[in-house]
Amino acid sequence: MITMQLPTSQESANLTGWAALSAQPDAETTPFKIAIFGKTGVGKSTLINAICGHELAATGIGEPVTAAAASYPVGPHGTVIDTVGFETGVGTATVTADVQRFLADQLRECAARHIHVALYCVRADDTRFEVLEDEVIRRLDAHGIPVIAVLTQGFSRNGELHPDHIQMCGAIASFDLPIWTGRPIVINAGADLETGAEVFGMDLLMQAVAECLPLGLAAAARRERRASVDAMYRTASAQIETSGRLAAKKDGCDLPDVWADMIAGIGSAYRIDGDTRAGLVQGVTTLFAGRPTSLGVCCGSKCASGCPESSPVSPTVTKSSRVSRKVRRAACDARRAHIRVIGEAVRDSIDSCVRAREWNPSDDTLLDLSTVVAEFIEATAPSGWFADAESLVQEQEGTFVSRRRRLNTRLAELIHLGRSAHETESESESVPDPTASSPRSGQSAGGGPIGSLRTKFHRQSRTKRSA
Amino acid sequence: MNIGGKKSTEQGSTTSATTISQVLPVDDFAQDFSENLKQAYSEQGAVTVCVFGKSGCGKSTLINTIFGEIVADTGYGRPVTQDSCLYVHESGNLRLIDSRGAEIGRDDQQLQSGLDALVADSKADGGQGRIHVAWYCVAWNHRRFEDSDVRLIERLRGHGIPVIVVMTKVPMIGDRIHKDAQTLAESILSRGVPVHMQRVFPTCALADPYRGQPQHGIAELLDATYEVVPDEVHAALTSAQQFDFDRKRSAARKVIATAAAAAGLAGAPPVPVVSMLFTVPAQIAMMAKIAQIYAIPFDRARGLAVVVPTLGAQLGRVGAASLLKLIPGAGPIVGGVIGAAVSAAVTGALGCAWAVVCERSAKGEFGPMDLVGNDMLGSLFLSEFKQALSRGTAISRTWNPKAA
Repeated sequence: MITMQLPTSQESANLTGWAALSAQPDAETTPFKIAIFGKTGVGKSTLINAICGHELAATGIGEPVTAAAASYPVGPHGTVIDTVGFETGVGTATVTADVQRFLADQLRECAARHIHVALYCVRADDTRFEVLEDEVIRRLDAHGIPVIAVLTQGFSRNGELHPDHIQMCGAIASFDLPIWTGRPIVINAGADLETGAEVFGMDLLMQAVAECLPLGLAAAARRERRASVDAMYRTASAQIETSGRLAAKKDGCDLPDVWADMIAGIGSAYRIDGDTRAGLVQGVTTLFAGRPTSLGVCCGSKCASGCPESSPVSPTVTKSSRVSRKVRRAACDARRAHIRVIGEAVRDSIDSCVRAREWNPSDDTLLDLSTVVAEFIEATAPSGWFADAESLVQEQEGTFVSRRRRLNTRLAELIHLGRSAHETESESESVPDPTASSPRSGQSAGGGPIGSLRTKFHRQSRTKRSA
Repeated sequence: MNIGGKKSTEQGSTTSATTISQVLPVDDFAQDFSENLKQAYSEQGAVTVCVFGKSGCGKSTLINTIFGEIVADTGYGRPVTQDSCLYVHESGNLRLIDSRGAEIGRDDQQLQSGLDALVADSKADGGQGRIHVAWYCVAWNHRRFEDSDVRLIERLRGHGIPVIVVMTKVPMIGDRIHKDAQTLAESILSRGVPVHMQRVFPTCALADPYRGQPQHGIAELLDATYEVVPDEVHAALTSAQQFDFDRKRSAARKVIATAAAAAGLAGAPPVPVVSMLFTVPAQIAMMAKIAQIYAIPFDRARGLAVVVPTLGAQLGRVGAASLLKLIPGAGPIVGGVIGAAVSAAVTGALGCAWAVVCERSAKGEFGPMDLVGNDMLGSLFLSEFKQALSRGTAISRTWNPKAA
C-alpha cells in the first residue's frame, strides 16, 4: 500500500497540475494512471493540458476534437488518458457499451497500468447532471476506481465561487453518487484572456487526486489478484476435468491414485508448495477415509475402516454379471461424478480461502489447509456433495428400474450396504429407528424409485438386526 | 351603452361622484369591457414558437426572458424538461413548445422521431398550431456543434419550419462577443446548415452580475423572429412577447390613433362633456385592444379597467372644464358640448393613460392589492391622462424602468 502525505493547503496553494502532484513523494516513483471522462466540449483536453503543464492535447471549437482516447505522460511514471467525449445522438446502449469496452481494455493489463483515478467532468454552467452520467460514474465505481466529479469552466472571483456553482454542487451532492467526498470540485483549467476568468481549483483537484491515488492503486492490486485467482480457478477446474475423465476410464481400485493426483494438481494450480500440498492430500484422504458415498465408492482398498467393497460397480462385478455396456458406462459416470464432487469441494474451499482472506498462495506462513478443506467439506458436503452424488445416481437409475430390475435391485442393495456400514459406524449402538436418526437416508427415503427401494432394504435389515 | 338615457349634468359645475356613477354604472362598464376584451382575444390569433437545444443550454431561461415567466422550472441538477411541453398562454396569443433537451444517450432516431411527433401534433390541431419558427439554441461554452445538431436542423427545415440559431449565455467583451463564441458561430455556419439569414444570434438572456455580464441580443432575436413569422401572427407575437415594449407601444399608438379619429367623427354631434368621457363604444373597444396588446390576463384587465369610472368620479370633482383647458387649442367650450377635436383628444389621452396602466401591469409593477379602490392606480391614471391631454397622443415613457 502506498501512502501519500496530503499537502497542506498553503503548500499547494500556488501549484497546479503535475507541480502539485509531484509534491507527493511517491508520485515521482509510482506509476499511476488518471482517466478523464465527460461530454464533448466540457474541457477534458484543456484539463489534461493543465495537469500535464504543457499543451499536449488538442482543444478546439466546433466539431468534437478528441476522436480517439489518447494518453499523455504526467511526471516520470504517470499517465493521463483523454477519452472521447459523449455526444448527443448516440443511444444509451452504445454509450454504456463503449464505456464498458474501454474499461475492460484498460483493466486487462497488470495493476500498474490500470486506471487508478477517474475524473468525471461536467460544465459548471450547464446546471444539469444527466442520468447517463450517473450510469458512467456508477460503472467506474463498480470496478473499484475512485471517481472525482469535476465542474469545469467555473468562475471564481477573489477566491469566491459563483453562487450558481455552489447551487449546482449542492444539487449534485444530493444525488448521492459514488464520488470522492460526495461533492464535485469546481475548477477552471484554462484562463480566458477574453473574459479574464482565471485558472483556479487545480490545487484542490490535485489534492483530491493525491488522496484517491492510494485507494485506486490498492483497488488495482486487488483486481490483479482477483484475475490471477480466476486463472488459478480455471487451472484447477481443468485438473478436475482431466481427473474425472481418467477416473471414468480407470479401474475402481486405482481411484485413490487419481484422487491423490487430482488434489495435488489443484494444490499446484493454487501455487501451494510441495510440503503443504502433500499435507493437503493426506488430510483430504483421511477426511474421506471410511466415508462411503452413496455409490459405496470410498477411498478404495486402502480404506482403513473396512468398507465392504472397494467399488461395487467395478468392471469385475459388471463383467461377471454380464451387464450391458450401458450399465458399465453408468458406473464410469458415477466414478467421474464422484471424483468431480470431491475435486470441486477441494477447489472451492481453497478458492474461497484465497478470495475471502486475500491470502497470497505463495505465502509460506500458510495455515493448515487440509483443516480448512475439511471444515469446508463438513459444512457443504451433507447438502451439496452427497446430494449431488445421489441425484446423479437416481437419474441414471431411472432406466435401470424399467429395464433391468434385478441389477437395479442389486445396485440399490449395495448402496444401502455401503450406507448402513457408514451409519453403523458413525451412530451410537442403540438406534431405535434408522430412518429417523439418519437425516440423509431420511431425506432421500421418500423420493424416487431408489428411495423407496432403499427404505425397503432398511426395513429388511432392521428386521434382520432385531431378529 | 345608455348614454342617451342618462341624466346629463351641467357643464363646468362641480358634479358629485353619485351623479357620475348614475351616468356610468361600473357594472355596465365592466360588462361592456369584458365583451370587447373577449372579442379582442379571440381575434388576435396565436404564434407558435418551438425551442430546441441541449439539456441545460438555457432554453427555459431564454423563454422566460422573452415571454415572461411562463416556464416555471429552470433548476439545477436533473434535466428539467422531461418531455416536450406545450405552453399555451392564457390570453391565447402564444403556443410555445419547450422541447425536451437533447441529452446524451438519446440517439438520432429518438431525437428525430420526437421532433416529427411535435410537428405532427402541431399540424393535427387544424393547422392552428402550425410551428411558425424554431429557435435552435446552442450554448456558447459548449464550444461544440455536433453532427446530431446538423441533422436536427435539416429535419426541421424539411418540415418547412424556419430555424433561427440562437447562441446562449454569450459573454460580451466590451462591445463585441467573446472570440470563442465568434469562432463557434463561424464553425456552425461553415457546416452549411439551413438557418435563417445565414446568421447565428448571440444572446445572453439573463444578466450575470457576478461575472459582470449584461443581457444582450434578445432584441435582435425578436426582430429576426418577426421577419420569419407570417404577417398575420405579428399581432399575436407583439402581444405574446414581454420583452420589446416599444413594439407594444407602437401597436397601442396605432389603436389609439384609430380610436381618436373615430371619436373625432363621432364627436361632431353635441355630447355633454363629462358623460362623453368614457362612454363612447369606440373607447371601450380601444381599451380592450390595448389590454390585448399587453396580454393582460382577462380577470386582471377587468379589475384594472374599473379605474376608468373611478377616474370619471375624480374628474367630476376637479371639474371637466378646467381639465379641458389643458387641451392645446381646444378653445372655449360652448353650450356644454364639445367639438370633434376635443373628443379626439380626450379619447387619445384616455388610450394613452390606459396603455401606461397596462404596461406597468404587464411588467409586474402592480401587486395583487393595487387594483380597484387603490388611490395609487387612480392617481397614476389621472396624471397620465392629464399629461396626455396636454401632450397629444403619445404614450408616456417617463416611467420606463430602462430609462429610470
